[in-house]
Amino acid sequence: MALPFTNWGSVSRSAGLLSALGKQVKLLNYGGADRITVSFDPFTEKQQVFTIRSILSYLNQHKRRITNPKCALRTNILCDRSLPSVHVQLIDGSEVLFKTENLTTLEFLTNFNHMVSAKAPKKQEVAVVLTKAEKAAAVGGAKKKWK
Amino acid sequence: MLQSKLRLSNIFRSSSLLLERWYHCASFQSTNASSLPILEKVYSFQNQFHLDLNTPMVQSVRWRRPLGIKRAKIPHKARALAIELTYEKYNYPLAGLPASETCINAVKAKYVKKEEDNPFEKILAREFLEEVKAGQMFVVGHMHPCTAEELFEQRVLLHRNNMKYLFHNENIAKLAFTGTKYESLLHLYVMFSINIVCYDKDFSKLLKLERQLPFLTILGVVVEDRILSVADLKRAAELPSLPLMHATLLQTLTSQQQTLTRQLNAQQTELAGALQRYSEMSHAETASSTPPSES
Repeated sequence: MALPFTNWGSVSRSAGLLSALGKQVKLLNYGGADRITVSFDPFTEKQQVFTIRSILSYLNQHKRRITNPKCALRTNILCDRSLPSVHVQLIDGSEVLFKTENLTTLEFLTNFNHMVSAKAPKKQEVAVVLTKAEKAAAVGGAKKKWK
Repeated sequence: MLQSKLRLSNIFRSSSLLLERWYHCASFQSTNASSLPILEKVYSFQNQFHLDLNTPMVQSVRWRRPLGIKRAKIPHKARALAIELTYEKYNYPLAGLPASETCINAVKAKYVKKEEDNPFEKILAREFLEEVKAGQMFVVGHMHPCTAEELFEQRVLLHRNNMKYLFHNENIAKLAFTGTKYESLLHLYVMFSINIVCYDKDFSKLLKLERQLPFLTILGVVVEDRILSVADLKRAAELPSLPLMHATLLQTLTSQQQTLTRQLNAQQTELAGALQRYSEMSHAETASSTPPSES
């Protein structure tokens, strides 16, 4: 018999579609991408255009673009009834083509993070070594502020 | 240990009591063969642990967690099993009905009042249409995310190039363009759309501006009652100016007549040229033969 409870650990509720979108957008990273080209025909089916234009707006956010300022983000407006697509050229030479006509925005972002953002180089934390005088100055400065 | 045993015994006691009640009810209505094995299983499980029926039926638990809806405690497997067995199961009330009656949106649409058109939106739509008609070109574009400062800089640049940025959303555009020659443009009004009215018919300037404005992507242009795509716009920008094209056309049209007249006048012009050369030569000879007169 199938019991309704399958997770015998902690229970957490999903906060909704918008929060899921927000989470995926925050994970976007163009560190591994060299060039991203978004192509679509604005006069095709409304649902396809809605998806690709929302994708375009998410990809063009300033905080996402500064993850890799060298990554070129191009928009290619077509007029030949072709289907919308996102072509990503990665730094390692490989290419990824997303055909978005049957994808939702969340699905695209999830797959993009899986395939492109995962290849971004990870930041290495540099250990800062302070001298005795620098440490004393930092502590003295903090003490002065409280006065 | 004793407390947990007592709890378990109560669970099984209550579940067995409920099952008995259910079984008796079922036996009056219909013979449900599937109930018997479950009941037997419960009794055998009970007997295995040598659990007896104890009173009272309700037992208070000392360290009960507060009830939580947002983070509900998942019950133990045995409790979940008991709940699944004992809770009443009702038939789905909408079984057999078509989607038009079960879909919540379809049902809502029947009862939710349609929002009346806002009269202020109608005024804005009328003004919007007048401004669009007043310009030479009308550009519909997609707006990328930008700050208010960047948008202001964009507007200043457009103003300097004899263009106007119009603040109107998709609803206003729908009200303005429905039933007019611009109705086909409504395909472009999906999300993040911007409107620009140009008072010049300069395609190359518009394309140059698009490169300078990183937050704008042109989707379509309306010029002389025609919708041009971006590819059409680029082709039109590569064409030479209209007076130059007129001159080229005229030259092509008159080229045949010019060659005919040239051919008809060829002999006369050659004769005239020869006579002129002869007269020049004879003048030169007479001037060299006569000596200069002594005064």
